[in-house]
Amino acid sequence: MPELPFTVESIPEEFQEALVAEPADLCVVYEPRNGWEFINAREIWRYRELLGFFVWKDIKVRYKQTFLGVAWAILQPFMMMIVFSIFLGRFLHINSNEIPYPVFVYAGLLPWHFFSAAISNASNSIVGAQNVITKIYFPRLLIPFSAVGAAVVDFFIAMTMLLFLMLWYQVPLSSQVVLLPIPILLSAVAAAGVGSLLAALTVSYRDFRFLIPFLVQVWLFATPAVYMSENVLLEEPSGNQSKNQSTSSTEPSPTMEGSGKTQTKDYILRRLVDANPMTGVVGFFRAAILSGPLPWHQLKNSTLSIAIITIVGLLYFRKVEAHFSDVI
Amino acid sequence: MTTFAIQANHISKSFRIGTPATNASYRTLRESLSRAFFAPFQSKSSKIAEEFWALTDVHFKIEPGEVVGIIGHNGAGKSTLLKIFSGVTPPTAGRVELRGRTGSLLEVGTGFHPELTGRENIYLNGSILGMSRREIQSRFDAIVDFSEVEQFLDTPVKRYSSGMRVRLAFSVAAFLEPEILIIDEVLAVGDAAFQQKCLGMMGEVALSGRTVLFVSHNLATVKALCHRGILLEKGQVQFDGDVSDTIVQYRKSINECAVPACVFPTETEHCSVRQFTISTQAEPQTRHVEFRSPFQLHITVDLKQESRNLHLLLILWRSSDRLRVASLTTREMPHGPFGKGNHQLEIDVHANSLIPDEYYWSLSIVGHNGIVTQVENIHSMEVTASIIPGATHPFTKAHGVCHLEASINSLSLSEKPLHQELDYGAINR
Repeated sequence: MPELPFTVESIPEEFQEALVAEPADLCVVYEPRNGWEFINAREIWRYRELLGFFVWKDIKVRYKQTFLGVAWAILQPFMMMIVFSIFLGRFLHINSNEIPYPVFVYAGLLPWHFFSAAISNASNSIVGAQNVITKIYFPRLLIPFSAVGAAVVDFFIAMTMLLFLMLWYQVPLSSQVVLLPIPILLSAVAAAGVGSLLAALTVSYRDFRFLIPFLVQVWLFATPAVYMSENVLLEEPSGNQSKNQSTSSTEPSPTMEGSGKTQTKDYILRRLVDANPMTGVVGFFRAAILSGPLPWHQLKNSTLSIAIITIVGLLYFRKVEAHFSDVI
Repeated sequence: MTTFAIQANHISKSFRIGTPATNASYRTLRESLSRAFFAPFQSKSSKIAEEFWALTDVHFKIEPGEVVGIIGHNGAGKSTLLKIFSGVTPPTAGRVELRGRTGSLLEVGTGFHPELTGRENIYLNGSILGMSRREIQSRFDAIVDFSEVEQFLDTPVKRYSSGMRVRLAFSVAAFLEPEILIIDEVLAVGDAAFQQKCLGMMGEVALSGRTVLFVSHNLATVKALCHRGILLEKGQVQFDGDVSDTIVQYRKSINECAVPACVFPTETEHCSVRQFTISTQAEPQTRHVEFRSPFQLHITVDLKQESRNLHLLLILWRSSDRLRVASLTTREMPHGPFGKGNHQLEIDVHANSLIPDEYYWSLSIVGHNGIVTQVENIHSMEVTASIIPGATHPFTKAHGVCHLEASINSLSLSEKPLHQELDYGAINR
């Protein structure tokens, strides 16, 4: 069949109207897809309403038939905060730089909790949406994105508790708070990238269902959410519980009391965790809201790794998404 | 310059099917890694063996406003074809072009969430089907009216009966107004009354000038709704043309598969039946007779017995319960009883009031002292349903054994007839 050039005159009148109204809709082509494609922003934009509905559904469904309802969005990080305050703050006296430890840890856990909830939900989202995916077309990215979107809403709800805690402990709000959108946006992008990657992998390999909770747990310890990236290593070089984690601190530390071998090991670990996308985001978030020096250097590192991981994640997702309905 | 709404340009689709050794459809990470590791050592041929071609070189074009039915056996590739048209899965080769806003209904109630209320699900489902929020809002009341679940609108759908859920789901879909509509077996839901309502809705869609691609096993529905039929067989277009011709072709392929009830000539001690066939206007040889349409029986029988007083008795039985439904005999024929020799008969059944069901014929030879010989189940016959415009229900075996053609007039005060005389004429469009 020769390819026919497409002009407005060539189509019947009743279709011409549609052409004017929705030109992008008019001609849809389905072809084999084997190449690499990046995010189709135009298409996502066209489906923005559906994205909204998916987010709304996620939130609506999550707290259905629960007694406490949306309060769980606050209670989850809040309870984590209590646990860490008792064990790390009270028993281990983790330095929190003059800030009451509960406020300090809650401010760190907030972006972390958002990120971990977003990637956990996103990674199961595609498999969970199996019946929709095999029956109808829409940009598949909407599904992990909507999981992240729902987590964003929870995040803002949980934010209110931080303000209460700051009032309670009389911690003044920093003027740097105007920079808050930066870490929030970055963590959302990171969650979308990582979430999409894990979601696509889970479709083919259900192994990730078991791997992801473990990954999230390890990632928490590699992120300075419950400790301070600068100080932990300096003050507790042979720290008991947080020993492994302290080595993962991102700031290059001065001399260690270990052998040269440990030092190189530490160095590698530090470089590795330097690349942790959440290190800069969490540190910057906390500094922006509770005052303190803004860790621009860490933020730069994190931004770079977020960019890489997001591009890889989205590319992989787009590569395999066409076959979701066959493989799932 | 030709116009088209849908063009399937030599599309093929293959799936990987799992062999016990290399279960490709449901791999684990470990297998995948080991395969990647051993891949360089494996020949390419082993890869091809795992492929299953659901569609091969399917090529057709659909004009705007055409209503096309796709029929075929299970596994012929119908659903795969629709999935490709709706973009759920890409073709392995070839190209599909759709011109116009497309809506696909591969399932009723896609994306319904049991925890959400009816109202919420209307919005969610509508949005998934491709309606904008404004469109849903403007059609909301009509959707609720059509679904007949108004009083449960704020109840979670998980508490609905399955019938209610299906009604609500179909109602949302019914108010989808794309230029191209792709539908898969949607009518196989709900009770008879709601099915009829859906059918009416679909008829309207078909008449409204939209392009419709419709897959169904229900030949009566396909015939009632579609102008054109495409017969798929083993992933290939076997026939493409007028819908009645397509259905004839499809039935032929069924007849080929079905085991014949009798092999001719059938020999008994007293006779040999050389031929027993059923023909209709559409098909010279078939076992399918359409509801309310005439058919002929062609019989060639060779009588061996030396007797001058023999008759043929044909009995029609209902397969499900061996009910004797009707009988035909040659006793009333002007030629009188038969003698020895070859006899060829054509029996013309011009008023067929059998309700759609499975039947079979048996043939007996009757002499003075009763039945001489009998051939059981000489030919099976299926009366197939067709949709009668204006009828409120499809005719099924639940209605009884035969259909009475009648019109009902009310003789009470009202001058208007209670029912319009049913228009049975316009079955075929």
